[in-house]
This record gives sequence, C-alpha cells and structure tokens, in this order.
Amino acid sequence: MNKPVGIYIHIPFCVKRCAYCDFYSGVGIDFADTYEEALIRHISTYSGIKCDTVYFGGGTPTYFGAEHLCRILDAVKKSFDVAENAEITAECNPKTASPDDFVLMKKHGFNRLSIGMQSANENELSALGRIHTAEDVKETVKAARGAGFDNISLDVMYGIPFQTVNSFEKTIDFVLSMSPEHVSAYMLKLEEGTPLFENADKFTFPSEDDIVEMTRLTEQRLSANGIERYEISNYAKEGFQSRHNLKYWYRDEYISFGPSSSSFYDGRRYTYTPDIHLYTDYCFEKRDEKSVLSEEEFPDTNEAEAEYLMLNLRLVRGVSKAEYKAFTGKDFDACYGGKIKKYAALGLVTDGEFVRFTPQGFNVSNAVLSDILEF
Amino acid sequence: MNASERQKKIRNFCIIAHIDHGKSTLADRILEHTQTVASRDMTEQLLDNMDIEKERGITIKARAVKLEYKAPDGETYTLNLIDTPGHVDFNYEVSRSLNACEGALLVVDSTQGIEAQTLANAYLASDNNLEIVPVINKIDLPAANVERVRTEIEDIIGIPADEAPAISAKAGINIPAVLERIVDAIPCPTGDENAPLKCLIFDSYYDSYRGVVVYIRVMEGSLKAGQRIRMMNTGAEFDVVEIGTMEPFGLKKTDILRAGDVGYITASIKNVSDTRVGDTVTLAENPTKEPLEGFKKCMPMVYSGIYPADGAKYQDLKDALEKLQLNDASLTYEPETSAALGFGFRCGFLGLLHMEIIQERLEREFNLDLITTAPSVIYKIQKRTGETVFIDNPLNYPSPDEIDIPYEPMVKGNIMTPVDYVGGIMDLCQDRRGIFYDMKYLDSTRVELHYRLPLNEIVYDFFDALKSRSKGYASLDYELDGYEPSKLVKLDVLLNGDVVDALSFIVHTDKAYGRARKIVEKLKDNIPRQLFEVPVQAAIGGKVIARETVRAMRKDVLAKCYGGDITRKKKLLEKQKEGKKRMRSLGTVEVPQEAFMAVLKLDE
Repeated sequence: MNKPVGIYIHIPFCVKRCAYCDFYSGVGIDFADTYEEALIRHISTYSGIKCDTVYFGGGTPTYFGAEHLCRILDAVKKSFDVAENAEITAECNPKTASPDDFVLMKKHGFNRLSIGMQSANENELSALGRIHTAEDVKETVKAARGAGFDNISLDVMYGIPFQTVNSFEKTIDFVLSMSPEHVSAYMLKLEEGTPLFENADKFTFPSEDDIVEMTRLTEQRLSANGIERYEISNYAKEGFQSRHNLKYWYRDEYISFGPSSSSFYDGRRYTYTPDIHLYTDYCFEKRDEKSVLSEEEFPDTNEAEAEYLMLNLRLVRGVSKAEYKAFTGKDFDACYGGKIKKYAALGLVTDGEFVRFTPQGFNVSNAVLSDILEF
Repeated sequence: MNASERQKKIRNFCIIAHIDHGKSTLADRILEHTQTVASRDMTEQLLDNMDIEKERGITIKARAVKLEYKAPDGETYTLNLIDTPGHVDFNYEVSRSLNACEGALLVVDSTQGIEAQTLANAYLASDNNLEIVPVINKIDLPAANVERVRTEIEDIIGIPADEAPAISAKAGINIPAVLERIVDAIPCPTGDENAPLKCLIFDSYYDSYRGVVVYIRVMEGSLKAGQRIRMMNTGAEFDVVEIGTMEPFGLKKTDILRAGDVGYITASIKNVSDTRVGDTVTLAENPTKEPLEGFKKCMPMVYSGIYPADGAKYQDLKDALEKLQLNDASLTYEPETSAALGFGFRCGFLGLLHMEIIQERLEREFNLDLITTAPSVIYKIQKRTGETVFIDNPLNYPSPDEIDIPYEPMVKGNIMTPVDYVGGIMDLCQDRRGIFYDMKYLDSTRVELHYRLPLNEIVYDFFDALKSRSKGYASLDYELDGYEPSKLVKLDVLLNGDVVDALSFIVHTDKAYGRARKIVEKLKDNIPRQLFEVPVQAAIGGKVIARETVRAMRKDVLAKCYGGDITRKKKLLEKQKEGKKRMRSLGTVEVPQEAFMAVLKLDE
C-alpha cells in the first residue's frame, strides 16, 4: 500500500553566487569530498524504502562533479529500493558540465536534466550574475542530447532586470528552438540580503502588467508547440511532467538530504538548517538531528486539508471534489462553495467536478489561497 | 461677608496664560519656593501628571495643590494653587477652576507679549470676578521687552501692571515677588463656616481603590468624614468616607474642611455620572437652600465617530470613554453604528485639540486601536415641513429635497500676528470663506485681525495653516457666533458603487469639487489593489463629481517552491491571511486600517 517516495539531494556548490540567490552556501569546491562522504553516511542510515524519483538540486550539481553525483546515486540505490523506471534528475547549469560528464551520468542511470538557462538575453543573464550565455545553453543541450538524454527541462524567469515583453519573446523563441520536453517558468522574487535586492534601484524591471503578459505568452507559445501547462510554473510534453515535483503537489512523501532541504515523511514535515557544516556534523554523528532542523511540524487534520488544497490547486487539473471527499470526508462545496462562486464570478477559478485556477487566477493565486484556506 | 481669622491666611488662586508662556514652570517654582517640594525632589512640571501634557507642554486637566508659605511678615499662609488648561478648547475647564479661586496670576511672555489666549483667559477670569495679578515672565531671554509688555497689559487688557513682577520662572529669578503679590493682591476667601454646607465640584477622577475622588472648594459651611452628602443637581447621596487636601505628592487625610478650603472627598462613589463637575455638594441633613450658580454650560463644537479598529473591543472602548468622561466632563458620547465601521460612538469635543487628545488618551491609557471619522460641526437644517433639526453626523443629513434652508455655525475669530504675516493670513481667511471685520494695531509690530468664519472651515486644518503662514507666530482664539444660511451639500464617497457611510461629509458647494478630488485621489493611493477593478467616486446626491479607479491586482503568486519546502509556503500564506484579518471590509472592498486613517486625515 505504501507509495514509493521521492528522494531529493541538495548540492549547495556553485561557481559563483547568482545575484538573486538567497541560498548560497559559500562553501568552496574543496569541501566536495567531505560533503559526498557526509551525504553517503546519511543516506546509508535508511534501508529498504521504495522510491521512484531521485532529484539532485542545487546549487549546481554538475559543478559539484559528475563522479560525485554518480557515487551518491549509487549510495541511494544501495539504501533505497529504487524502481527500475525511476525518474532520476540532475539540475545543471551551462558551462559546468562536459559532454563526457553527461555520458557518465547517463550511463549511471540519470535520465532527466533540468538546465538553468533563465534567459536568452546577455544583458539579463549578466544582471542576474549568471556565468553563461545563450550560446552556452545551446552547447549544453547539444551535449546532453548527444549523451542520450531525451528528457530535458529548461528554466526561464520572469521579472528579471532589463526584461521586456519583446526580450522575453526572444527567450521563448530560443527555448522552443531547443525542443525541450519540459519548461519551468518562475517569477523572480527579490529576497532581502541578496546582491540584486541591494542593487535593485540600478536596474529597470518589467511592470506587473508586462509580467502578466509574459505568463500569457508562455502558456500560448508553449502550448502551440505541444508543451502544455500542468502546474503554476511548469509546462511539459505529454508524459514528461516531472514525476518528482508532482509528489510535492500530490502530498506524496519525499525524503531529502543536504542543508536547507525539506522532507515530508511519515506525517512529519522537516527542513534542515541551511548551514552545511552543521549538516555534515550531523551526518558524522557529531550532533543530533534536532540541532540541525530549522523547521519541524506534524500537520494535523486541519493543516493537512489546507495543504491538500493549496498544493492541488497549483495543478492545472485542480482539486477533484470526489478526491477531496475521499481524503477529508467533507463535502467540498459545503466548505468552500461560497468563496469559490465569488472567484468564479471574477473569472479566477472554474467550478465543476474539478475546481481549478484559470490562467488569470494562477497569477493572483496567493491572494485567493490566503482567503480560502483555514490553517 | 467678613473673613474669619483662619480664612485671612488662605489664598486660592490659579495661573492663566497663553500656551508656552511658562505657566507650568512658574507653578513648579512656586512649589519649590514654598519648600513644599524640596528642589531635589522636583521633577519638571510636577502639576502636569499626564504623559501627553508633558510631551505637548500643555495642561489638559486641572490639578490642585495645597502649599504652605511662610511670608516675610512672619505669618504662614495656605496657598491653594489650582492649575488650569491654557488652550481655547478647554475654556470650560478653565471656568470650572476659576470658580474655585479668588484670584488669577496672568503670566505673559516678555518676548511675545499678549497673545490671543492671554486675552481670552483674562476676560474669562474677569467675568468670574477674579482679581487678576499680571506676571511678566522669561526676562532672562535676550528678546525680553518688559516695559513693552507692561504697556500692552495696561492698554489691551486694561489692568494696572506697574506692580507686575518681572521674573524668569525657568531661571528662578524674582519668584519671591510673585508669592508676595499673591498674598498682597489676591483676596482671601470668605463664607460662613457655620452656614449649611455648600461646596463646588471643580474636578474629579476615578481611582480604582477609592472610587471617585471629588475635588471641591468649600464655599460655605464645613464638612467631616461620616457625614451624608447630597449632590444637589443629580440628587445622589453618599456617606463621606474620607476628606482631605491635595499635597504635592498625594492626598492627605484631614478631619474637617471649612469654608474657604480646597480639598477632596471620597465616598465610595462608583458611578461617575453622580459627580458632575459644576454640581453643588451639600449635607443631606440641613441642606443649603440654593445651589451655586451653574458653571458656564459647555457645548461640544466638533463631533466625530470613534470606532475600535477591532470590533471585538467595542465594550473596552465604551468603558474607556466612561472613565475619560469622569475626568473630562466636556466629552460627550453616544452609541453610533456605521455600515463600514461597525459599532462605535459619536463623540462631541470642545475643539480639534480636544479631539486629538481624547483619541491619544484612549489609545495610550486604554491600549485601544481606533478609527476616527472626519470631524463635523453641528449644522442647523430648516426643513420644508417647517421643522428645524440639528445635524452633527453626515449620516443623518436630510436629502436635498427635504431641505428648505441649511445653516452652518459661525465663529468670531480673533487672530494676533506680527504685521509681516498679515497678507498671508488674510488670504487664508478669505480662502476659508471668512468675512473681514477689522484690523487693530496692538503696537507698531503686531496686529489683531477680526474675522467671522464658518466653524467648519476651522475644524480641519486652520490652525496648522495659520502657523505655517506665520512661522508659528500667529495665534487664534474663537467663540461661537450663531448660524448663517449657507450653500451646503453632503458629499458621499462610493467604493465599487457602494456608499461608504463613514467617509461622507458635509461641505460648502464652492469647496465640494476640490474636496471630492482630494479624497478620491487619496483613496486611490491608499487602497491596495483588489482582485477586481474598484471605481472610487465622490458624489453629491446621485451625481458623481470625481472619479478614480484602483486597478485590479494582476500578480500575487509565489511560483518557486525550493526543494518542496511546503512549510515555508504555508507560512507565507498564513502571514498573508493574518494581514487580511486586519483589513476593514467596506462592502466588497478590503481596506487596511492605515489606508482608512490616511484618507480621514484629508489635509495632510
């Protein structure tokens, strides 16, 4: 009866900090061996749990090194019962992986790459503090394809410095020319303490209206090319939806490793502190788990219901009233019918067997969710 | 009536002055010089107990204190100093205090000369038959001009000033001369100690241990603990628990209070409405025949709605108002309901400063968050039916077709200013629909302007405008001066098509458009984007005269979920939901409280 879990492994190593990043660990690559050893120790404390997705996120896993990644994946396979057809993803930034790296990874079982291209425009990339150009993205995709990767995702961002509706169309054109199976389109959020936040007044940012137009363009252009939206910020060809990320939205379980990684397992949500040294100390049994947790909670029935809605509504399919009843024992309309009607009248949701956000609704989903949900 | 030997050693006096002329500092020095308070124990401005008084440098509440003064003639005198507020809003409190005294020190700043409130207070004291003893203060300052001020006192107020002590309260110069003038110039109290009891209530406050503490001046007769007293106006009777005098550091129990004395009574009085300031206290057995002549009845001039920001705090607000009213008889309130703001109170105030102070005290002393609607004056409406109604709340303003003639209250305004600013001030008065009466030169540098102005033009920001046009030098005093027919309209504000009752106000036709534009612009700037477009309109009757639009919110999304950190996302939404709870729903539109306050403060 237990569904297989997802495994997330956080790799907090980067060539340099991106201007918008508030997760930067600041640890040098010379710490990579120690970190690998720590992760493997931590992973080996588990045994026998079924798993069908593995996801290496960052940071920049490919900068950390293909060989390291492969050895860690081996450790996962040793301690977990990894399904034959498991989705095994690594995030990858252009200029940090060679064609040989991709060959090695593919041979070891990696079958999906998520490439952080962000933009096809040089001025935008340099304002973000990225080290690559559009040309580098091209080469990375080519190398990945050459190594046999047939499931490639590209990341793009809205709301970045210098971006205009026109420049964003160029980015979309570029994305389509790469024929990806999957696209993630994220909104930039200026986080306090990041270099971009400090220097925000030096840049022009696209207006709210322009960003809304970009989301519309994304959905329209990708759809015309068979890449359909399935979640607020994710688009895929049929059969290429990220199985790992879907676990988050379906409230399935996932076990994570690495500083600042979050897990949901056995009724417990917990997040490790972002401090890599505290985390490795924990792996080497120099501290207890409590002392490296930044968050820990056991969602009760109410919270579980709220999570269920909040997460399901991120999906284009929305929340199924029948499934909601099966999960909570409650009638969806009796609980939320009034508010849903109000938002349906504003064109922000559609109401039927499934309740789902419209594209306009997705853009203001926080305002709607914060009204609907009772925590 | 001849004074008894005991009464000959008593002086009951107050200090009156224009704001900032040094009244409180002089009170401190008098306390120090009578050695009632050792100077090392002095805290600045001992009589001003309330924080707000200290911060604003004004006296809001009358406070009384008993001093022992050993005079050079070898006699020891009892000086009862009754502190009074200086601002025009508090004329009623001044008048209460004055009635308990035989004389008043009139403090005049030697660098400023006579100001509007100096004059107003002097007239009030004179109306109450008080002996006015001028004192010229701040002679330590380089700009002091004692002789000019002496002449001003004689010319403008019309009392001799040749014996007025020239002092500096701040520097402690010549204070003994002031004490000598008090003893020499102010008459001692009279009143038959054996007559039936007759006391004047001039102040009271609620103490959670003693109940209501009533400050009184005994006019005739005498009073002891255990006696049964009657409030002649309310008819309420109580058994006196304790009587005593107000010492600088607290109440001191005594055995007897007799004619001429100033003191306090406690009698387990729970209900504040039983101790009306101005009432006469007598004994239940053998009462006095006639109560004291009534205090000047004090009418609120400005009204506004006060609502708790959190509707659940309505009862707290009610309790707080009840307690404040005990200390401030000039505050009136009655329940009011607004569709936009829920349950609250319509409160009447003496003026704008009074309103601000009450608001501030409610917030500070009672820890309440308030929403206050725009101040309104009392309009008089003659209806077509022949009936006349008084309207202090725009909500009750009759529809135009019911109105025959609307009248608005007028004031006589008396502005004193250095000549340099006369032009700007005249423009201001003109703009505020003022009618010029005359202009008088007080001397070669200062003038007095007389205008008749609509009160509703003064209650908004007139004081601030006056100060800013005169670098702070001009001063204003005003008194009500009847009603005038006027061209008045009620301006409604609509959010998303619904009238927001709390934002309606009454305005002169000529000013309606300007005010309408201002309010819709301010609303537009302060209302956060909603999930739909919100038209903001200002309308007279059904006719929209100004419109703005708050565009719909288009983007509010957290797209990235780092590594499945659901907890973080949940917290963000919870925080957002918390923020929403602090919003006020005005019909279908949610407005944060701060925005609402910003809009109500139309003139900033």
